[in-house]
Amino acid sequence: MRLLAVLLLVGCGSAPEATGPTLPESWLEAVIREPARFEQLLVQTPREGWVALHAHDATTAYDAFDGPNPAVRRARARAAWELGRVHEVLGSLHVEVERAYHTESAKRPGGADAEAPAHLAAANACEDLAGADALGERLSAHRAARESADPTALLEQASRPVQRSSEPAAHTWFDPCLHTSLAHVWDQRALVDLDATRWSEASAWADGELESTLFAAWLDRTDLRRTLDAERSPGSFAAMSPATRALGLPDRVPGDPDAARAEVRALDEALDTWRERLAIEAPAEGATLQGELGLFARFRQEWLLARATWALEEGEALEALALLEAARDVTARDVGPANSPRLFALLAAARFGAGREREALDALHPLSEPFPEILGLRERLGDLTVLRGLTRTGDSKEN
Amino acid sequence: MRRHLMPWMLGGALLLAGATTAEPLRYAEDRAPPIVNPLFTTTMSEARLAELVFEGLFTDDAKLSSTPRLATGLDLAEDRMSAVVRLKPGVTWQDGESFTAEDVAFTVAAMKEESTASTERGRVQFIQEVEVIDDLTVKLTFEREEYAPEDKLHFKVLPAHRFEGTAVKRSDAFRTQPIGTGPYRVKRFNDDNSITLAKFDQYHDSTRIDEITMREVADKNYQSKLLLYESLEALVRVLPRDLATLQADRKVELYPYQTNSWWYVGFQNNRAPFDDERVREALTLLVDIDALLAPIGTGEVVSGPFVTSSPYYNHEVKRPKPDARKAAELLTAAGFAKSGDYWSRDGKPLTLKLTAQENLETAQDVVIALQSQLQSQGIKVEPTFLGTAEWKAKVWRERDFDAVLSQWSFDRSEDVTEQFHSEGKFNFGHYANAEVDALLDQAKDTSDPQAKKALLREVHAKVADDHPMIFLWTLDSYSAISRRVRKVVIHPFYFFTWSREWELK
Repeated sequence: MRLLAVLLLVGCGSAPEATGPTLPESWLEAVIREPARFEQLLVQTPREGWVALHAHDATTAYDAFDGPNPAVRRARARAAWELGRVHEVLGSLHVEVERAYHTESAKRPGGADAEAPAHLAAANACEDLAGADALGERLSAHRAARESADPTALLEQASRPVQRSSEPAAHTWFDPCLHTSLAHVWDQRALVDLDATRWSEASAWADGELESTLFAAWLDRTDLRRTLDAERSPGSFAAMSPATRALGLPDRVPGDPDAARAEVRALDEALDTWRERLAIEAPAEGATLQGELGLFARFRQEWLLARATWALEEGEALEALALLEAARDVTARDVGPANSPRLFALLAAARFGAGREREALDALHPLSEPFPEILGLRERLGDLTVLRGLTRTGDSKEN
Repeated sequence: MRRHLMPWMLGGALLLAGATTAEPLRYAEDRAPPIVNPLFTTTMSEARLAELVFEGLFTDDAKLSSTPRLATGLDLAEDRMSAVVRLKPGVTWQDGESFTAEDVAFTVAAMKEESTASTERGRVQFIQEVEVIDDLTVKLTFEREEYAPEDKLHFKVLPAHRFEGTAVKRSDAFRTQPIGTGPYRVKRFNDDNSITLAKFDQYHDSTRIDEITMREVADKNYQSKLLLYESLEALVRVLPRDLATLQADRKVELYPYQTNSWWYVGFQNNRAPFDDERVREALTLLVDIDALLAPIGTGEVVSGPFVTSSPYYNHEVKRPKPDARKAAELLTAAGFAKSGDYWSRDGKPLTLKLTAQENLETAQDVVIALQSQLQSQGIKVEPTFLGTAEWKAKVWRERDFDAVLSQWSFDRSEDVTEQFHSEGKFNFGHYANAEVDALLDQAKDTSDPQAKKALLREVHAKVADDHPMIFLWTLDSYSAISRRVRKVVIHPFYFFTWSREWELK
């Protein structure tokens, strides 16, 4: 809602002549130096979509960006891309949880869970669904969703377990492929809007104006084009961006959390300098937009998420964790303008990768309201947490 | 504590000027542990300090799997009823004596000894017998089959030669002259209640920071200032309202330190009128928990004895919302009547004597707000704040209170048996429900994770229904550590488990 209030202020004055940027041309510069461009975007594309995207409500944004206009379609692709990334992380996490459950179950006092192998086989088949027989009737819902790019039927079943048994105890098993299918659906939708079948073909995305870059981890269209051409996995788009590195960031040291923190410090210093420069040079409306919308904080978090995804993809959970903890605005506990769902999903994945499955549950908790379909993942992660603790003696203390 | 602030700030300024070299890592606790003896550890501050001085046979590795520490490994018998534990050679106690199997046998016996009344007794109940095979080998016989006994062998080992027998008292000299095998030894207890720990030179592993100082900073409002003034290197728990300032500071890193903690007001369930469930429920319904939490910081209200992200949390149990009308009905049914400003029975106003700890963070704010809320609804509240020693005597030993405001923290097992089982050692409020006892016992015995979840969710529902406590909230908990401290990984419960890897630049 803050974005709506700020929009009333925009366009009320003309920008004084700036001395010209010495830092990269970017969506940050565009919005702050030329708020009229931002206002123009909000005229050409549904502003409620941008309000929602700013609030990290990509579902609402997707629905709001409705229309055949290429700019609107690019904006809608942005929302779909965001949802695809959230579900991609959750999907991958759910599969990892099933694998860990299977391994731990074999060590369980009293014998392994007899159903664990079938569940593991289904989880391992989430990508193409071949061999996911344990999903039973749910399998056809997955296939239908992927073919039609419509998640409705899958989401309607998400809170119901695939299997429920009562002997020897009440057992439930939730769909481990749900988020993988949802990621497929949202990516498919994004690609359709970009007239592409794969990300490296999505040049229409980089052909856009501000709608292609606003609030993103990539600073400008060149950055985006380069990352698309590089065929990076979508979650780590812009993580290796030369434009961001040129801000003065040290080289990555894989697997070193302290080096990752140093990278964050360098980023913060660079962004401070940049922000201060713009505060002097930009028109008042641009400064207002920056202050009220937290544009630098937004870019910072988006880039750190991409950077953390890169680390996670290489199996460096502790490095990713250092970046993600730095990315999080600790004063806001829920999903909202300050913290994106992807942040919490990645935090859960990084904590899980670091052996902290109980703390991964903490990270998933804020997603329960905006993404109630994570129930199955939470339950299974909870099962694993309990399983790993069965042989322990609990400890509790005051304060 | 204001009197300590200025010299500390001055100390920080001198450090900035480079006036000293071998710097200690200074961390703040709200309360200094009055004793250092793992047999009697009841608070998180004691547990954290014990983690620096003492060690167990096994400990957690960075992925929270058990890894040998004072042991080198164990051989589990085929029938799983016993295990032979091999001990690490060359380990010495901080007084120079050798660590041997006798120390393991002594520790288990002391913890099990009735007259010791160790708060940790439950951690060795699975051991039936300890047999010393030789100096570096010990055989443990179990009460029943064990699948991963190393997971239970994390309790701290004590030096047999420092005690006269297995009946250990809290008042034994060891409490102020602790000797462990850990990376740090207690160098001195200082006049300002701080404790200086020095690196143990003969430690059997490497340690990178020479000295650690535990500072007692009772006024939590000052803790973040001291960190910002570089008069501290670590805050164990940041006040939620200080998070924004510390996150913005470029000299500090925040680390999540979620200890599965929740706050509560616990009733003395066997003392009239709080032995009447209707009275307890009425009081619960007269409290606006959201309003109490708002000034404290970010957190989430809980409806029972687990934090909301716990696998055991029963989301079907709705948190009570303020309902003065229903509370009035309950109090009336319990024989109370509103006369004048207060609810009374037999001419006596309904009075809640609320006890809290002096140094529990923000407890005073909560008590005052609670007093104001309940008094406006016709309940008298008489607050009492106790120091550590009085608290342990009144609450832990004598169990002499109407209601207490406190906080429990749990490791990832989130085992609430000691708090809610009728025979639980930490069940100070004499809560008793045979069904809850049975559920807790079954949950302890089951090897089926889904069954355990279901059983403990039922515990949640039943306990919430009995209102032995007003369950308040779980707070977002962070530690703040100077960026000069490198290679920091904190244990989610014991904090300092991996501190020997930390470096101070």
